[in-house]
Amino acid sequence: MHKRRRLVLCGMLLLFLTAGCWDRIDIEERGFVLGTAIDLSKNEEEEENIEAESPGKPKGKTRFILTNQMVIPGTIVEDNSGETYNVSASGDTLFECVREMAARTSQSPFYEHNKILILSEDVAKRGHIPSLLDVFLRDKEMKRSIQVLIAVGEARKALEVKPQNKEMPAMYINSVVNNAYKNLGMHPEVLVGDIHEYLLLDESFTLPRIMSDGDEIKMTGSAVFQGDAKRMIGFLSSEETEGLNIIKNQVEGGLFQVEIEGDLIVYEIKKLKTRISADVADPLRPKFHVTVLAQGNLGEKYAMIDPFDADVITNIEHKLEHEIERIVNSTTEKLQKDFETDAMGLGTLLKRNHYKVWKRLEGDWDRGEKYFTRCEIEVTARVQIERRGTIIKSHGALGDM
Amino acid sequence: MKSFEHWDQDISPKMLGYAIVSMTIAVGILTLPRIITQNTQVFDGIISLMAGGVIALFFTYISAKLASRFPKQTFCAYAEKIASKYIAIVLTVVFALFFMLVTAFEVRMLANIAAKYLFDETPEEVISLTFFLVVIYAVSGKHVAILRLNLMFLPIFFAVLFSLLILNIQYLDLNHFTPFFTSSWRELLRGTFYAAANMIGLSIILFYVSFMRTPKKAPKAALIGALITICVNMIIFFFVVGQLGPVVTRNVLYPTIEMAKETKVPGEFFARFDAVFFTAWIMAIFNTTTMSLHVSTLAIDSLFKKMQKFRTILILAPIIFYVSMLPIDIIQIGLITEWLMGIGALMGMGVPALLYVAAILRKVKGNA
Amino acid sequence: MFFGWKKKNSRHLAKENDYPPNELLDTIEANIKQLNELMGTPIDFVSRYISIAGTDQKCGLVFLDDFCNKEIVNEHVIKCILSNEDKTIPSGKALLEYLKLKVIAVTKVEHAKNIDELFLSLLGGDTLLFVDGVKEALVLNTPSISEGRAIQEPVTEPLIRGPRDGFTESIRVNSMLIRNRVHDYNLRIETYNTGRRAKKKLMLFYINGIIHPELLKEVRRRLETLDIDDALESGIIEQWIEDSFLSPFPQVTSTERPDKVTAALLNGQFVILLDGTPFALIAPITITNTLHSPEDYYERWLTGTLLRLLRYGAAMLTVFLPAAYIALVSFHPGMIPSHLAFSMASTREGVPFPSMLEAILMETTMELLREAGVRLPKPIGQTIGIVGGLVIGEAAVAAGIVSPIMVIVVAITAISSFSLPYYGLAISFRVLRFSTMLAAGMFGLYGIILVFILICIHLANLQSFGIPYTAPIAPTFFGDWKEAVIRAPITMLGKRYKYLQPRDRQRLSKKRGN
Repeated sequence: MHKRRRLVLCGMLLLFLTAGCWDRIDIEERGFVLGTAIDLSKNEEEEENIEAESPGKPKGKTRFILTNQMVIPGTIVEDNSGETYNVSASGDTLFECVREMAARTSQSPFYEHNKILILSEDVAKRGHIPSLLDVFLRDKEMKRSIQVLIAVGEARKALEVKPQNKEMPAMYINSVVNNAYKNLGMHPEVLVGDIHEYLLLDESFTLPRIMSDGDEIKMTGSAVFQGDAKRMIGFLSSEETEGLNIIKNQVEGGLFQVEIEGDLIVYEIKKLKTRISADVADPLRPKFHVTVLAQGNLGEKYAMIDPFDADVITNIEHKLEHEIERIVNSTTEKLQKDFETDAMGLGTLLKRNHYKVWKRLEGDWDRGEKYFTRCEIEVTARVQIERRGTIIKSHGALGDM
Repeated sequence: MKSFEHWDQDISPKMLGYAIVSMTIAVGILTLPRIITQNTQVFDGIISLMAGGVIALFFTYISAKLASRFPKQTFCAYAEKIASKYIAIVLTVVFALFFMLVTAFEVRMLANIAAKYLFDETPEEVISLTFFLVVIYAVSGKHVAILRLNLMFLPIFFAVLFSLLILNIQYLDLNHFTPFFTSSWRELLRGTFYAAANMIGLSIILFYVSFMRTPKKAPKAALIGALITICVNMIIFFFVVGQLGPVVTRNVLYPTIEMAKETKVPGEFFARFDAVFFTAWIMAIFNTTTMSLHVSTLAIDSLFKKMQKFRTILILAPIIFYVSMLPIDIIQIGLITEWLMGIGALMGMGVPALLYVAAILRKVKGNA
Repeated sequence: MFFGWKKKNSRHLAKENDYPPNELLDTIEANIKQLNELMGTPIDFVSRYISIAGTDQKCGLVFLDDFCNKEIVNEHVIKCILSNEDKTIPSGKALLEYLKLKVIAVTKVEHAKNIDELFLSLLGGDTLLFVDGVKEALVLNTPSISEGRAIQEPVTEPLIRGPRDGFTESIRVNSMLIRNRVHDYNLRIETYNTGRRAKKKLMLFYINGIIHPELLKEVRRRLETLDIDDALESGIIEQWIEDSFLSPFPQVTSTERPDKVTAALLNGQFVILLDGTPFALIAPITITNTLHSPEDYYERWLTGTLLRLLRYGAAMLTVFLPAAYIALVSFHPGMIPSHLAFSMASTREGVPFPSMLEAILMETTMELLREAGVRLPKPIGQTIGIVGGLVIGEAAVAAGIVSPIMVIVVAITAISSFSLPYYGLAISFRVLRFSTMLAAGMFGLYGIILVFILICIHLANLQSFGIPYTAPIAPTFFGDWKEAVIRAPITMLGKRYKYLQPRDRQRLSKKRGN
């Protein structure tokens, strides 16, 4: 008897298994979105069109143009190269853009392989970031590990680059970030999930900057966002980003060049550690000591010096220390005086280590009273040269032989 | 014809331990970090988790002591000995209802989360019905088989969970843990309540010890089981807060899954680890659901002598399924969660404690 | 009990024998005539009257022409009777005793009264001897020596390293092969006759002092319930005595290898041999047993362990790989690494079927090929492999019916199912594979996990002769894992499986045992 009951149960289960398959969409029917770019729409004509088509519709503050980069599946070759096409659609919200897009493409867009999100400078400056990111966090297809970049000029131009090696543009951009360990001026990757945290904490933050010129992109520099207004204040140049990376202790590698005896030498960073301590004797005017410890190699030398002479090395090390201090100071200056925004995480440092002080400053740190702009930042650098290469001299000079 | 059963059908202490771990690892493992961080500041939730754990351990011990005092007797039977017949019946009915509600809740929760992360169009009813049918199939089997399933699934779940955690070590940001001790006592207490109430499944001890041949070993096994869950909860809390940060944890619905979503598997073997974690979690919640349905049938069977287990299940199943489909959205489910935690705390902690004290005072003991 | 052992009312063999006479008659002629007529006067029925030399008494011999060894009958029966030198011999019952003790030079001589017994012996190649005035006959053991097939290497279970002999169709040879390996006086052989009409010998082997007595009782009980016309093959016995006939999992293994049988006996399992088939049955078994191969023990332990782990992986692939493909392609393309996802999408471009249909199509084709390969004579069987593998695979991809990745999936699945050592398990895994594919086609990963849970529930409820099928994993016996899950060095395998509850657990001498 038990047997029959169980058979009935199994039968019911089978019925259900064969009853429906709601979510089945085969892989070739999906339009894989590789990258997304968001711009502001400036097309007045289009707006009038919308007004004519659906007059009573509630209107958003601004219209966006969403550009999706999609893969053309048939063109994928084994070595990662393949053809893509970009689809743009405009709407008051991103969802509207997506729906608009569905009316134009044969494949329904699928976002789980989305790698990058590029926002145009204008979008960022107008403070749309929080509302635009909402769907990237809310939707189940979106991953928190999408990279966010700020484009100088129009964002979709960045997706239109044509890399020399025929790689798909979004994949190409995505892998450029991995070179951060070679270039000090590159901002490390920032993910949607990270920004979620910054936005929730009302912290100021920075995002990597992307510049494109048709065939190539360049990823140095960064964009600074003010935590209170949540809008972009301005760009830090490549060199200022170097300083930012040093302060935030996120240096993975890179180089410094200093002039010595009229010519250049290159210092290759192997390890760079930054420690910041805060002195809160005067709670309204905290003092920060930034200590930078760098270890690295002599990478390339043009100057005619003897790298195996201890005095020369000490001299180089001193020059390098000054160089580092100069770079950092230029960054802090810009952030304190021009941007009045604490993108260096000094406030977070206070919060972690001097919670009581922070409680007093919290509302007036880089907003309100702006105590941040008045605090003192002192930089000291220590540089060590460890390896000097495999040769003593690469070329002889007159009279040196 | 009696078939050859030279393998005994008793529950060993090890099985009881596994059962407790499986029972208490359920929805809480996904939501607990959020609930705790919502009630406390930064990383202070770990204190609440520890305090809640100690409370849960204490009541685990009391429940196991109480149950092992009456070997081979059902809850209904020894409750009658300690108190009166009517109290025993009322308590048993309440336990049965409570576990039915837990079953309904787990079924609905699974469907809800699965619909969020795995499906788009598939209706929740279908997701939960398929799952529920599997649960019914399990419950209508032998009762040792249900406990054996724990032995099979729990290691799989732990393997996936720990590989998730190991993969996530690189994302841990120590900055997320400071500042310490910024929560008020009130906040910590609230966190402690939730941490303790998360262990509501513990009252299965009251029902499962009666199947044990050596009930004397029950308290130790139960303590170890509860301790494992508490440790797992703390480790998960540590990792989730360490990776997402306390503020994000507070603001995502299922922080543990979100954490898995950010995980990258080396070599890009799998692009999404969250789906793997989620499927392993289905096994864990399957165990919880199966055991709670099983315990409610046990409770009802102990009231009616002539009931057959399968008939009980056939009666209970449609009711449970109907109840599980009652809440419209996650907000209502959330309300039920709070409710369940309250009743759970009362039933899992208050009742055994009272009964135990009464048993000691009135010097009631089992036959053995 | 679900899927339980439910063969009620053990009907015994006694009452169905409806041949009218059951007794012998007084005279030789009458007896011989009766036997001959009962058999329908067959052409190979040979009867012969011999007078005992030197006396006026005679006796009658009956045998089947080609069934018995005529040399023995000539040399050791007829010649002996004809060269009898005693002048005074007794008559009647005493004569039978006299012949047995002093005249006939055959190793095994028995008395028989019952006609049924006589027929059984006669059909087994024995010679019957009648004398006047006694309702009894002597059964002389004179079987023909031709035993059919010689001992050969087992075809279905080849090993790289290991003994080359396999069972044959003769139960005598097979029991000799086992006896040869277990020189232990505790080896017990119990003989049963199965089949109401085709009376076949069935032997139950076990080692007394290792096997659990309760287990033994249960086996005997189940064997006694056997009630069929003819047990054609040991598979029929297997299906009769197994615990749950609804389960797709085999609860008894069969083998052609005497070494495997020996190992099983020493583990505390029992073995059943049936006359007429080279396949011996081993039980009780667990899911881990079915994935073991004797070679695990013959190779060094590291190799053995790794091979086992490989096989576990193969088992999972066999059941879940096509389902995983369906789930990933149709439900969760986000789980595939990006580049792979794009290239999969491009290879599926133009395939007209949804992935589930594609997979079921290909898997069915695979099963067809396999079946065809088995049925065809060996030389042609190979061409089927080529036709199937190359032509269909290649052409189907070229024609755009399936995607190349599907072909890879099918190939891997097939290969892993062939790497399972026990054919019976491989078959049931193939059946399960289709159910996982269906579930994956409906619910994706969620469906797969539900089917996995269903299989596990079923396994947890399943028993083989009372031993939980999932032992030693659940219930857990960590001590057994070193032999059941991995294969620890031989010197560490000091004890027999605990889950079989052997009476004597010590395998190595006590000093080493751990």
